[in-house]
Amino acid sequence: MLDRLHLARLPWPRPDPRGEDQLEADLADEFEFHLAQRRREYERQGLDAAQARRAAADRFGDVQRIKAQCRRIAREERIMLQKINLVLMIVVLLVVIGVSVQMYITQRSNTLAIQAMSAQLAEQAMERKAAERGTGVVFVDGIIRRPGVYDIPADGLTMSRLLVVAGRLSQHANATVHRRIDDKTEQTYTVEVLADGTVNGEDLDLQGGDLVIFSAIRDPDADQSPQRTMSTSGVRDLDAILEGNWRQVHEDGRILDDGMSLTILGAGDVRNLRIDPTGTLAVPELAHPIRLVFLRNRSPNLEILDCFQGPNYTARGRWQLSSGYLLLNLAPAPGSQPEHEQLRFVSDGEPEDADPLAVERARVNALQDFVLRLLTSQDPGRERELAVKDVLDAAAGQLDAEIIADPEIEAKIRAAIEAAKRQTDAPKQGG
Amino acid sequence: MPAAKTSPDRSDLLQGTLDMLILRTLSLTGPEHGYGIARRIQQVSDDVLKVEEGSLYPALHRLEKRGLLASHWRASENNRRARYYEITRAGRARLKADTESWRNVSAAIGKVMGVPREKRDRYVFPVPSPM
Repeated sequence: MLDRLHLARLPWPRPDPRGEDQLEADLADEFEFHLAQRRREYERQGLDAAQARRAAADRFGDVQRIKAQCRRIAREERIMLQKINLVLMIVVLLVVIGVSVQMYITQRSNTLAIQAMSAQLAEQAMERKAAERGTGVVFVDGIIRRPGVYDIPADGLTMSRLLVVAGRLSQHANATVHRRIDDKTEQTYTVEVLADGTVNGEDLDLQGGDLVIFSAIRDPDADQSPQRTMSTSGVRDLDAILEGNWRQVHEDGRILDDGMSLTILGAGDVRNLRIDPTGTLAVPELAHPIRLVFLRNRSPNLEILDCFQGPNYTARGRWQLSSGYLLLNLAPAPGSQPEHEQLRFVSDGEPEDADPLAVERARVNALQDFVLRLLTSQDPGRERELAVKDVLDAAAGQLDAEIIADPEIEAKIRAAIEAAKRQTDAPKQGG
Repeated sequence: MPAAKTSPDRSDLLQGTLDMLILRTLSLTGPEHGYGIARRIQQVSDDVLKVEEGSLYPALHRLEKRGLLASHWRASENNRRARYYEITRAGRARLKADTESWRNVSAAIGKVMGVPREKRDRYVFPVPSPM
């Protein structure tokens, strides 16, 4: 017990580096030295050699027994050391095993966790995709057999599928898909449908809220339809630009997509124009007829499509408003009355022939009004002195980016900004 | 030497005492071989302690193993190899602790055995002679 206590408290016992032979030699030498010294001592005291030897041996004790004790001590420490080493090794081994097991378990649970997370993410992605499809219905119109509202099935709806459910076309046609990205932007896709009813090229995956309009592909050399020829006649000045993000109003008044804002740019009486949620464009109580020009946002120029004239106009025709400007659907539905689309609003009642300059001026005026609107719609606390770049940027957000990219248009916008700036100080003029 | 053993075995006590004596001796001298240590103890103790010289060596070896002593071999006269021991720092620390314990124990023993005051370690004042 003494030994153990000592071992516990003392510094690490130094291992005996000597081998067994060395140990024996050391013991022999050490003891022999002692005995020799003792013998000499006794001889100095007067004993003879033999007596001295005997006395020294007696005094020393049993050499063999003591050697054995010393050997035991050396070995004990060695054994103790070996025991310690063994214990240490076992401890280290256990620790290593423990750590390995821990690591394995961690790795395994990590793998499982990762798998679980992947599965969860995949599920979420699927849910998100399903959610992205929005309300889950598409609005279909045009020269399709069965126009209307179609549900998107759980596994999605492609154009090809839609053709199956909505009735095949019997002619070469374009399917234009209007997809609203956010409040301000809309994306348009065109899918070509062959006469046999199949999709030419890549099929399109439809999303909830999509508006699909099928229109016949006309021979480019053929004459323009009567509706089209009206588009540029009788335009002198722009009275108003109807701007908004309105989807479509069906011929029978059914709203296929509604709820977005409508802004009417223009001066004077034009502001009385309203397109109400039912799709009716009403111009009540006008002092005089006005001209409404519907512009299509088309690169690189603003294209005037059609004009409408008249004190009152109820929109019963098929026209659609898309992200900024009112579009005219050039493909009349079978059975629709062409006359509806030929109504015009003229501010002074007298149609005149198209004048390229007038058209140009009309465009500039439109831009001017647009910029003015931008400037006047600014936060009252904000500096009126906007940098041209700010206005251009804002304009780019409103108009198609391609328009702004045109240097000619950009110059016109800048000029319009200047004019609008002057106008903010001066009283507003009509027209 | 353990401070307070409840029932000290005689041999343990002796062994511990011997260790302490060795450490004490070496703390006063320089490096010394086993024979020299034996003679020292004998001299200092007024020949009362005649250590069985053989038992010195297991004690020396044990103390060295525990780091309380360090040894080295040196060639003596007659070209004999002699092993010299010296106390280490740890040895000195142990010696200090053991000395303290020994003093406590010996005082206690003295009390028990009725050793006259003047013979005890902690004798400070002369005993007034009875009137």
